[in-house]
Formats: sequence, structure tokens, C-alpha cells
Amino acid sequence: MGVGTQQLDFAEFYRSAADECLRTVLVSIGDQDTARELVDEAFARAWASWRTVSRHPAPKAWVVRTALNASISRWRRARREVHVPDPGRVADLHAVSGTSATMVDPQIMAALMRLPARQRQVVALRLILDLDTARTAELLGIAPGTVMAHMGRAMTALRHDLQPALQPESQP
Amino acid sequence: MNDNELSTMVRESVTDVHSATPIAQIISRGRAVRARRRTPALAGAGAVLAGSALAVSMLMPSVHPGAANSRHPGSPLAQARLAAWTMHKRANGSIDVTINELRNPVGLQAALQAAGVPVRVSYSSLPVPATRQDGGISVTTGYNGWNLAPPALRKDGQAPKLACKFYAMNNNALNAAFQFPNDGQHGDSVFLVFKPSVLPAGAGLAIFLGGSIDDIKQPNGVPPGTSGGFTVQQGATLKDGTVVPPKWSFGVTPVYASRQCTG
Repeated sequence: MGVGTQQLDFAEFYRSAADECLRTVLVSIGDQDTARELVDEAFARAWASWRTVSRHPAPKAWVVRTALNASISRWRRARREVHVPDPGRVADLHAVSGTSATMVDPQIMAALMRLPARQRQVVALRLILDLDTARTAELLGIAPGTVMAHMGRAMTALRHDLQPALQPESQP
Repeated sequence: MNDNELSTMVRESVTDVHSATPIAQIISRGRAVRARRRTPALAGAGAVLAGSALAVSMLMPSVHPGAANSRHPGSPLAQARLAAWTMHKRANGSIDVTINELRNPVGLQAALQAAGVPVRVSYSSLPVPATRQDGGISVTTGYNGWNLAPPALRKDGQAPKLACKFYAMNNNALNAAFQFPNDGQHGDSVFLVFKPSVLPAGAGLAIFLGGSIDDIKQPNGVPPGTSGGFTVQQGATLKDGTVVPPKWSFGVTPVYASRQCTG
């Protein structure tokens, strides 16, 4: 495959996958600017390894995994004032900094951020990236049963968290 | 609210989020990633080959170099070398170095020397200083910033003969000759820029990887404005208070260029 063809191929992939990957990473980490940066970096790495990535059974998942790995590396190496949010610290926020109210529903995002990181990743991969349980398990390196358990707990927690907010008129 | 409604709600909460980065920018960034991967093959390959045997002996001091006695017989040396660091000489004479792993200092020293930098690259025999930090990488510059440990005494109790002699260079001169752009961070690597052409005559640089500086002694009574060099180190205090000791530290200090020190 020539470079020109590869580039067209990659451009098509980027156009079709960028939004979905960005949303998935955003739901996983909660900060829009960071998510954009991580996804851009992940796509750049995808282009750098396009021959491999293009043959991957789930290239979008590859990009998301790369972005999440980069996020972990950043967090490990970040200085105090650098701003990959730590899930433990954003749990009490009503809205997540960096997410614009016009683009992201702050209540839902805050509820997502209150979930443990792994549950949030499972939700992001299953609901936003639309991966099945087996692929999600493979991507996260956990058992399919664990994915289902995380998903079940996450849905229960989200329902519990969002129900009162969505139905204020039903409260006495 | 059933699962389907909840799932839809979560999906719709982010549907207005779109990637705005132009494809050209991604491709350009991807090319830079590729270039970083390619540079070791282009830069200093011959010098690296020359240093390979020594590199093995530095990495595995308890065994003789050579695959037969290697403690890692399955690791191809070339692959390890390529992963450890990359170097790229620019048209303006400056030299970019990306250190991915703290390995093969001799190869890096040989490559830098071949590119015109009077330099000593070494691993410390001392452990990484267990300083507590609240952040990740910390960068300290200037004379008081060193985590300087006294050189270890020899078995006979005498102070060791040090290979390098401190060169009193002012901060501006050192900053011109050696830089840590972005605090040395570059993705998962440490990124450094050398500008050998602006080093004062007779001066060189000593780079220390992995621990405290142990083959140069910081002199007393240096003039104000004299730079002691830079150190960068990684460590962290996790949110639950767990202290992760630094896995590596990295330092550079000006030295006199000499056969014993910078080759």
C-alpha cells in the first residue's frame, strides 16, 4: 500500500472514529481538554504505526486504549499542578471542570465521575464505543464476567445518582 | 428508568462533543512520532556499535559481556539500544536527545562525543535518593538544587579519585549550552537539547542517570551566579498518601573537558 493510499485510509478512519474515541476518553477521564490532547496523541501514534493499527481487529479500541495508557503515564509523571483529574478527587464535584455545559451534560458527567475508574472505563467502552463484553474485557485486560459486574454496578449507581435529579417534581 | 433509557442518556450526554483537530495536524504529529522512532538508526549508529561491548559491561557488571554469559540472553542488544535513547542532530548544530530508558550510557556518550559534545554519561552507583515529592517530575536548577551525596569511600577508607572536575560556568552559559525543554518531559521520555557550539572552550558536560551524582565533588566557594547544573527526578505521592520513591533521576553539571572525564 503506498503512502498516499495509507494516508487516505487513515484520514477516513480519523474522520469516522475521532468523535467516538474522544467521547469515550472523555467519559473515562472527565476532562475535555485532556481528553482531546490524549486522543490527538493516540491518533498520531496510530498514524505512526498505521500498518499495524489498520490491521487491528478494532482500531478504534486501539486508539482509546493508547489514549488511556497515555493518561495513566501522564498521571504518574504529572507534576502537582498538572491536571489529569484523579477520580477520587472529582467524585464530589457537581460538574467537571473543563467540560462545557453547552457540550456535555454536567449532571451526567458528574455522576460518571463519581464511579470508580474501572467502572467508568467499562461504561465508556460499552456505551460510547459500543464494544461488546468480550472486546471490552480484552481491551481492559480483565475477565468478561468482571466487565459485566462492573457494568451492572455502574448502571445501578448511575440510576441511583441520576433518578432524583431527573425527576425533581416527583419529590415531596 | 430502565437500562436502555439510562444508556441512551449517557450516550446523548456527550453527543455534542466533536474532535476539532485537523487531520493534517494529526498526521504531522504522527510523522514526528515516526521520526523519533527512526532517529537512532540514523544517528550515531557506528558510535553505538563501538560502545556496545562496554554498554553491556556497564549494564551487567557482574558478568562478562557477550550473549553466552548475559543475564538477558534473549534480549537482542540492538533492540535494547534502540529503545534506550535517540539522538538527532539539527542543521543549526544543536542536538536533540530523547532518553526512553536509563540504559546504555556508554553508547549515548559515544554518540554525543561523535556529534561534537564533550560529555560524560554515567550511571550513578548510588541509589536513587529517596526524597519525598508531592508531584511527579521535579526539576531543580542552580547550585543548591543538587541531591548531592558524598562520593562513596573506597574499601581502604580513602576518598575515591574523581574522574571529573567541576567547571565554574555561569547559569546563562549553561542554559545556552544545555536545555530541558518542557522540563525535560516528552511523552514518556526525557528530552534534552545540547548546543555544543556555545560551550566555553575547555568545558564539557557530565550527565548522570539513575541516582545521585557520585563522580564529581561540588566545590565550596564558587562565585555567585555559578551554575551547579540541573537535576530532574521522578517520584510521586499518591492521593492516598502512599509515597512512590523516584524511579530515576537525571542530572547534568558543567565539568572540565578532559581525557579522564569526557574522553
